[in-house]
Amino acid sequence: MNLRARFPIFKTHPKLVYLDSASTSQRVDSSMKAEQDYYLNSNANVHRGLYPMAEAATEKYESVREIARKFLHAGKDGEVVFTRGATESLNIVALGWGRKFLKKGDEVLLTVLEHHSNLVPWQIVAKEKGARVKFCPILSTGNLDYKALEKLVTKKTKIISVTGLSNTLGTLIDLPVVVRLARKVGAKICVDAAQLVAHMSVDVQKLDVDFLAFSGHKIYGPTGAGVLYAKREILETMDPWLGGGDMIREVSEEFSTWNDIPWKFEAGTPSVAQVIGMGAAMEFMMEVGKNTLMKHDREMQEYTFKKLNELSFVEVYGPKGFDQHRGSISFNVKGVHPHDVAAILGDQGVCVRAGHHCTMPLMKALCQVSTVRVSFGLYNTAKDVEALSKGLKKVAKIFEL
Amino acid sequence: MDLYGEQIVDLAKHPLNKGAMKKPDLSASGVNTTCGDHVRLYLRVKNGKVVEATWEGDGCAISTAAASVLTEEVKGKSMKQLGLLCTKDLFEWLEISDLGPARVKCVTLCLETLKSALLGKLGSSHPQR
Repeated sequence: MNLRARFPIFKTHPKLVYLDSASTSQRVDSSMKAEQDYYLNSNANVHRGLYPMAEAATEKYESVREIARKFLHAGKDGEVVFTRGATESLNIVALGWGRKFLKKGDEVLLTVLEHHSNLVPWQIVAKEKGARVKFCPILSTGNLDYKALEKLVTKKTKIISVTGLSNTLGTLIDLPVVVRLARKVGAKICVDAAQLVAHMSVDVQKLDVDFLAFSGHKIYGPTGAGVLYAKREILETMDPWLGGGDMIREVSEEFSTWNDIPWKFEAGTPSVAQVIGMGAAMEFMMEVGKNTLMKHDREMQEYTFKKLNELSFVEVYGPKGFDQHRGSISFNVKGVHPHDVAAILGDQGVCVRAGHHCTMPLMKALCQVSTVRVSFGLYNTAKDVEALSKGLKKVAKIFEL
Repeated sequence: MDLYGEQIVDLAKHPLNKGAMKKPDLSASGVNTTCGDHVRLYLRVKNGKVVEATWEGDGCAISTAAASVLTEEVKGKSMKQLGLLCTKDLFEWLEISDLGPARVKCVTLCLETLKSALLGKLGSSHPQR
């Protein structure tokens, strides 16, 4: 299967070297087509109209729930809520579950690897409720410090919310270990899978997680659509976090009652086209399959590590082994600010990210203000890595390293 | 690529006036919230004119070069002259003509911080996009 051919952006920009997929991926053809098909053939609001086109729109939108269930291997006890992205999904957990169940003195356990979207909502809720947010540190290898984690999980821990795969370092988290620790003290477990689902097949039943969040735009689908997977029995107990249309059953001047789950958490007109596009993207991911995903990731990262190691002026952060690492590689060019590296690479058509990658506590742990990050998608080839290497040599030349 | 000319690369590698100042007459901090660059600016003023200017911080080559030339150029200037400084002046001193919207903030961070110092503001300044 020629995967690169499935991404029309490379027809528009044949020379594009896109190494920023952890930020947002390029879009797969079938996802763009599904979105356009909806606009061309069945554009109407969902859950409202009684005419055939509105029914077709509703049917298409709702059918994505089944695709998401397959994608996540969800069982009967699990439910799929559509959101605008992983950030919104995580906010629903913090604002919908945390606000209702956290009490003074309770603890929320996170890791220093977390993206701000799995950190800031918890800070907001903890402040409101008088709860504490604690962070599990990492080892110098960039791996999570599981020994420290064991000590941090106590009777006070009410939820552990953790990334499945670090967006900055590419560190894989041993989720079964984290889930086991959570269950020991009866804590809930929430996984930020925004990066994870782009690189690995996820089985929410096997993992036995309570919540799992991801975005469509990091798995080759459109922006503006995401998923919150949650166990039904937990969702039933949660209050809505956003009020409006679609999430209500009945509204009077005095009070309102809520719609059933999952719609109780989908206030307002949803991102219909984007959810439909995300459905096609999930189908694409399943079509590619976990073996191809793994093979491609392994080839890309082994070659990148090799090429970066050849450059004496480059310092790479995070774990290197394939069993501990996927997707993103962070590094710095000694003596050159990451923004300058990214700008010079950008001038040569190599798209990378520089900054704190929305993980400021992690930057502090690494004793860096920021890093350069390259991250891979299914369209990347060895040629992209060679362009990166060539670009970095140019950085060294400009700064006379 | 023209951006990384000799002067900017040289100033990035060998910044001017970098360091803290004890008991400055004016000082302020600035943070570029989008990229995390930060600068702290110190001014010593005698008879209404700047006699010494230094800066501390961390940033890209452009912002380091900008802070270097700014602290050079403000020496000998009156408070009124400082108030009139603008982005165009910095572009001139740095010998650059144009910058994309993402990088222009790298140049203006130190200037915005200087304006905060003039207003006697403490804490961070948030340069406009």
